Amino acid sequence: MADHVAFINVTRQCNVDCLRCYLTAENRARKERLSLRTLESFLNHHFWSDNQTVLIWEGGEATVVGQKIMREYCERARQILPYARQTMVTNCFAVPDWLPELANEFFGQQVETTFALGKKASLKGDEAAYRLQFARGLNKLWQAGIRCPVNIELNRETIDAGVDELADFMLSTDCMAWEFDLSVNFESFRRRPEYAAGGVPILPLTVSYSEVWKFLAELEDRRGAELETAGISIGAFNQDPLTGNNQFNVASEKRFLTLNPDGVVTTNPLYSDLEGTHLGSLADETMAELLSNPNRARRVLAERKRAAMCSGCVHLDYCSGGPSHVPVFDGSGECAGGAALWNRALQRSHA
Amino acid sequence: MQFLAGLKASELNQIFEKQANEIKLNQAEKFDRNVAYTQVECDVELMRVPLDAASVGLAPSLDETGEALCENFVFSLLLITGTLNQCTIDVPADCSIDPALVLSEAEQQSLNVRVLMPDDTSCIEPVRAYADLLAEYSTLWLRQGSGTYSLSPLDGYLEYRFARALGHTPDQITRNSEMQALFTDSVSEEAMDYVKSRLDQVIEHELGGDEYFREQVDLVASAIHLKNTELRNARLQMLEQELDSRTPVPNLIRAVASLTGLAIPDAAGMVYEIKHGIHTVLDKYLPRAEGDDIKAPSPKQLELASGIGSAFVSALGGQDAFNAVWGEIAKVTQLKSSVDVDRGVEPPSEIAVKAADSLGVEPKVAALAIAELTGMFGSILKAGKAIETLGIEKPAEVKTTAQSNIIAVG
Repeated sequence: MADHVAFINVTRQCNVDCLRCYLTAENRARKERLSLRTLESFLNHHFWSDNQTVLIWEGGEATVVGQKIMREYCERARQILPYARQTMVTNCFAVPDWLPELANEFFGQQVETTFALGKKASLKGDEAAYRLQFARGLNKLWQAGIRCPVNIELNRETIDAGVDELADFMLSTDCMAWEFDLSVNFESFRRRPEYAAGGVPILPLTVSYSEVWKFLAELEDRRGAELETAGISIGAFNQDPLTGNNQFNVASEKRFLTLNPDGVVTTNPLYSDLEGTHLGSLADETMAELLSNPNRARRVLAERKRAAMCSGCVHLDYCSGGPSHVPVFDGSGECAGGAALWNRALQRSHA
Repeated sequence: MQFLAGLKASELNQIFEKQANEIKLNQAEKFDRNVAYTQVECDVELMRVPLDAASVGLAPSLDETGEALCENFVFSLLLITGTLNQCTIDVPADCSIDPALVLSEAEQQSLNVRVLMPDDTSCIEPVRAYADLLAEYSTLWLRQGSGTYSLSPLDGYLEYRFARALGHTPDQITRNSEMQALFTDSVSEEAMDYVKSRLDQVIEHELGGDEYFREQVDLVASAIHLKNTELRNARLQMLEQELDSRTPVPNLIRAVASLTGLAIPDAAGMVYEIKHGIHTVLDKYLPRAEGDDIKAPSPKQLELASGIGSAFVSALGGQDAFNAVWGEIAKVTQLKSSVDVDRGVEPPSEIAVKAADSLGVEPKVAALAIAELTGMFGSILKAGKAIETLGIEKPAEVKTTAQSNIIAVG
């Protein structure tokens, strides 16, 4: 049974400026903090205690709340759910000295981060400064013995920068684990929000699927051996039908819940600031009421129907349709799950 | 527990509305969760679970294509699992839906399935079709090997079969009151035996006969035994570590345990109580006078130690001769080099090896036990100032001064 995952936005404040962030610029500037009471209301429910659970501390940038508050969150969560695994997503822009210590104590020596070769900048709008700071922060974690895989958002700018620029950057850091995420254009969605029944957001992509999977195939063909020799592991190149799809948000609507600092709850963390997806707020409802929100059940059903579009695909059993927040097909001849990559995986396993 | 069977989802929605209105009118109103709603038919989406529901079981139904489960049913399942952790899929005895479809949904949602008895269970005839349906579900469930949900009443019957393999025949198949009400109460013995024999056929075909259950019980017992052994060894190891870190004479305690056959904690208690007894006697007869420092040894006891030390010094012909003898004793007993012996840098002495044989312990333990015993005697001589040090004292702490926070910048 897959883990139930709690994404806990301890703040939405951020110290990095990402043009296509799923959080609004207004919320990223607000210095809000999650209260311990809200956290307790969120965690004290059999949705977590009856299942294998992972708690992921997120923001904005979670570390901006400071060591004392972050430690209080972790300790309280451990009291309520002693068997839950905890981890954090940080942007690595300004890794504080206490983060490795906290990761050792609470996160099983593992945190995660995200990256892209464009449209990510310091608050002053400097992309080069961001990249430099990111690499420093990432190295700081790996050098402290903290495993911090990077999720690269395959956005337009990263694809346009080319395989070599990305591979060179990967080789220039101490990070040994890299993953890839599909890129959603939240900026464009926010200009014209569109929802299907049940509050399912219809999210536009920044790059077509065929470009994404072609880019990854090229990365593997041209630089894969070099990266492997350097000890770098890339999840997308190691997809295995036996272990299922390791992309983010595959058939997860039923087991994901995201908490905002103001108590608002939604399912997918990418929906944190998409009001149409919100299930309600712990400020005036209980967890049971939020979980019983009909839109949640409708989105789970929508997710199943989405996967039904893959019927007939040989990869359906293990791919499950790819990330469910994006459409299965985009008209480019490829799909969200990456049929081309699965074909390569099968060829590898038969070789 | 009250059982309400066969209500519709629309009726449950109304029950909730009514209860919610009652609470609005009277804030003190509270509902105990003591009603089991079974075989609820999803004519509409079940939007709210009644406030008195202890459990809700939904009956599966098909959509208009006849090939998939009805959306109202799936939606309702998804919705109520958020509110209630006692939610099941209740398959009526006359259900004609493909069992694979129902079990697949149960697996996806990790929900238990109950194949419910028909209304008439007075004799074999009315339960014949039911037993076939249950057999079909049971076969599929046993073949799936999924651990995410259970199938009743097969699960209760399997427990019963395991209990029998252990040599115990329970007087009831289940002690769960809800299960009893649904599967055993008011079922005639004849009908019950028929269902059991049908389940036995499936179990025999899919798993095997009594031998299978005995093998499984043996496997589980072996696994428990192995786990217990591992836990006992781990505990012993912890105990050894505790002994080293929390007692001043761990090896003497080990030697006493070996000599007496006592368990380590008892040997530690015995050594401690001997020491405590000596101190109690000394404190009784040579107590501190009023005003003496209670943290320092009693002056009278120090006088006794001093007298013992002086006696040894005189007997051996003066301080130099005594020092030479004590030095030799410390060397032979490896008192001063006990840290090296403990680390394995220095081997146990010859006398320790011989003593080890007699004590029935490792030579290293014997060497350290001898050193610990000598140390105890030496501490009396040290208190009486016959010797200056034992040679195994902790070095004095080096005093550090706080670092300046001023950073030189040029």
